[in-house]
Amino acid sequence: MQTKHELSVEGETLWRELKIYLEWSESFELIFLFTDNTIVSQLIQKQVKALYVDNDVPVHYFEPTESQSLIVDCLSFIQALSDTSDTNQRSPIWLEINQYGEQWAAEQTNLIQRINERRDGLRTRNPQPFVVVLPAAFSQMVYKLAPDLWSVRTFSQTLDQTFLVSVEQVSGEIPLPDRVEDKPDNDKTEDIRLHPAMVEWQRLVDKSAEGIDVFYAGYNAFDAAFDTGYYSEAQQVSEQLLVKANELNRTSADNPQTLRTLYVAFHCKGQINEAYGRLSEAENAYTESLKITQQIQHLSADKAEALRDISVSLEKLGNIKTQSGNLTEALSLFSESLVLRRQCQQLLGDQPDVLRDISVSLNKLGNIYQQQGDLTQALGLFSESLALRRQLQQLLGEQPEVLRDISIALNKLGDIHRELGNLNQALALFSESLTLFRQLQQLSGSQPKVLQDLCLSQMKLGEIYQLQNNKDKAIDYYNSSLAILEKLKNIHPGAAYIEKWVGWIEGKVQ
Amino acid sequence: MLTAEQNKQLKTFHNNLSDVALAPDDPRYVAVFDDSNDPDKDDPISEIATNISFAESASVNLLTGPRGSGKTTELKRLSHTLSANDCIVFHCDMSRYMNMTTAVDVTDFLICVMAAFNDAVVEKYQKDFSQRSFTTRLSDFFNREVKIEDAAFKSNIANIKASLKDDPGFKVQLQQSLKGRVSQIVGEAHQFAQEVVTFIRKQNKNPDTKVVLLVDSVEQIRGVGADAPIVYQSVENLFEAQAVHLKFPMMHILYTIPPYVSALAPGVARVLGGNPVQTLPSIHVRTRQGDDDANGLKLMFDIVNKRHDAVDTFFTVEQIHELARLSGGDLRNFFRFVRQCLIKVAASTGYPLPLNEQLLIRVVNQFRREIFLAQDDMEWLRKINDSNNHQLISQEALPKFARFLDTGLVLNYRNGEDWYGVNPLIKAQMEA
Repeated sequence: MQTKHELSVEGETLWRELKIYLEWSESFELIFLFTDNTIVSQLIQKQVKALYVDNDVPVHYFEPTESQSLIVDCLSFIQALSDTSDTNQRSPIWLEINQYGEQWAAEQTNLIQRINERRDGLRTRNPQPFVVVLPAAFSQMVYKLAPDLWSVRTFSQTLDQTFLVSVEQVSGEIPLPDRVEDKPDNDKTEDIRLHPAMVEWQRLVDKSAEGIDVFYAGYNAFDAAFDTGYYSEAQQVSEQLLVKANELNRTSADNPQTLRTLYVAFHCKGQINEAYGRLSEAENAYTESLKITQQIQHLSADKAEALRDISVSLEKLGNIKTQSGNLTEALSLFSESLVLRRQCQQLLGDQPDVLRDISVSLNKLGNIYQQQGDLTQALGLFSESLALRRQLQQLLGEQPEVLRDISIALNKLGDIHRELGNLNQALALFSESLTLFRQLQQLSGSQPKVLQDLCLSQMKLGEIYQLQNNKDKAIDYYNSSLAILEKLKNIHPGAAYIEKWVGWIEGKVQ
Repeated sequence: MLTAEQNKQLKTFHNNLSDVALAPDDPRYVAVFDDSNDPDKDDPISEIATNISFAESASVNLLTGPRGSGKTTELKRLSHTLSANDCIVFHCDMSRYMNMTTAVDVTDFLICVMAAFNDAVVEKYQKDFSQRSFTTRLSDFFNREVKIEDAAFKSNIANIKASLKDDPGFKVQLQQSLKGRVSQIVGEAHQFAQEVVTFIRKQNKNPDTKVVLLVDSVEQIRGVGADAPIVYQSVENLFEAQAVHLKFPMMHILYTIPPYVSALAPGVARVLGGNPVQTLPSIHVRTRQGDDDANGLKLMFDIVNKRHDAVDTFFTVEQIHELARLSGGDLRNFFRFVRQCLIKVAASTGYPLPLNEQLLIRVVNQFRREIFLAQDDMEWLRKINDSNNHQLISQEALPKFARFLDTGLVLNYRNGEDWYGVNPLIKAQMEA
């Protein structure tokens, strides 16, 4: 869900005070607003513009487009407003110069110093409210950069997300691809049955082979079918696996290794039911798998593996609770899972698998907090997850899976920043994510999943540019996304997500 | 809910506290430094007026004080006093002529001062002033002595006032081209001043008329960023090695100088004729020991009371005193506190009148949040707080100390001798 924002109580209080400063002003009144939160500044700006909508002269509003010409453009703008004796012309001067990025920061610094030099001229030639909106970091620098301006300020305020409140959830989010998009019957069977894992499994079934190794051959076949979307075949294998696991446990009770086959079989059953949306059956299967893992924990000497298995079952149950809308229980399950994974880390150290598990748990928890509207918590969790994934990149190099994990983490953080109104940060994160997806495309080729990721990243970037009123760039990204969707149509003809994504883009550009 | 009348009063009160320099005949004016009712108090303005009245031909006076201490307001009082004693006074705001954040040389400084003087005289005498203007004089000088080839530079010379203020590149070019010609530029400036004084005396039909030039806003020169040391070095050079050129024959001149000049150029007053540097300190609302100064607090109350005749509708006396204490006697901050209280009342529907403590606390916290302190700043400020001394250990640290004064982190007081205190909003942090 995408959040719509309004000013919070603090935001409204600030606006009322600011409004009075503007309305009462009979002379130069310098107001500094510091923010990285584009949504807060846009909301305040909207209020200001509305306040002066009936004036002969609206707010003298300046927002630069190019960093290189910022100083010249802004000083010329101010100069053009000087020396007006008409009091109607004395609507506030509003300099929106809080653009994000290194190239902007240098020019903003320079500009504020140049305005500082003109302080006395400004006071005499511009007897009106003079509002300067700067990036948040400037709140700690302006007094050094522009001591003259700072000494005559009327008011200053740093605006962050506490000045915002989410008022309603609107269906603006990019829809995810459907969970179950099973391969159509007419083109699937032949392919998966030729998969080596399936061939091997079929061979073993045909000869009624027994043993734990046979069971895991079946598990490989399940994975092969499930991961490629052949859910009917995967379900068939999962049923066979459960039979095999029960047989194994009848002959060798209370053996952690055989018990684990039962855990795996229920796990597979849960997965396939979950994929088909049969949440109740999935929950039952995962509950069974959890019980078995807890049994294993008491019997097994390999504490780390037992802990990990429990954490996976908890996570799977958490997923089901999330899908059924029970976020509180989901939160509790994911939290418990994370605790166990951190215990694994203590036992095994910073192994890549352990780090990745933790990062997944952090994302799961972050998703819940995001859905509950606790964006600050979500931000912290997603940030930690991203840091772990960057650590994995250092450990494993630029493997496609690692790059994809980082890209996903970047997108999650970007989503939070977008919701917090920090559009510039969101832009930076989505841009980095897109770069990584492009790198991934070079490494892995134009696989459907890669194309989906590329498309999604560009849709997100397009949306940010649109929110920043940069329509040209937004359209560019939307068009690129549509071009990728055309390719995906050939790969996944009739897939519902493609229509939804096209609809989402069309909804945005209308 | 406020009544319409209360709202109107709030607005009037608020706007009466805007940051403008008041003339002494303004009903809102309070003679903060006037010593007529208190013989123990120094009145820097009265002393400067006396210096000028005692000097027969020419004098130089220096006035300093932190931002917001009321220099421009007090210069208006000085102007008023001197005019009443038949002096012809010109008050020039140098911020309209100089770039305050780039290095200054005596040549471009004198050019700016004379250009400002020229404009002030033209404004006063209009067409009657038929002398050759200083800018024409300067163009002639360049054509005669410097032989300019560069067309852009030539064009800048023709618009020298704007160019000096807005084009740092031109300023550097000018300084280069005038190297070795300091005495000639000084000669041009002095000659122009003499001609103007002669003209004014003739206009006034009184050969004894004293012409006084108040060169205001020079105290705003300061270095910012990486160029800061160069700017401070240039100021030191101007007020130390070149100070002698700042005296003008036949004319009484006053410069407002940055508070740090006394540290950079301790001999400046002696070189310029011996009149001591006069300081406008912050209002003495507290003693060195941190106790209230009842006279200072009363003065702060009187200042607000003069701005609005029904202060007690909104504040109790104790509340005003508390805001005065927290401002440390800095008038700009004091006004800012009071104004923000008034804004909060107008913006709210829930605050009773007079204001309650809760609102005052919110306002003070809001201003406290504006202050950002780096660790090394904190250490120095703690030393100042402990010693009531500036603790300036080297001239290299001067830019930082200037910043402390500029931004009101450190306040300068005088009772008997000068002492320094930290902004009360951060004092608790210092003492924690």
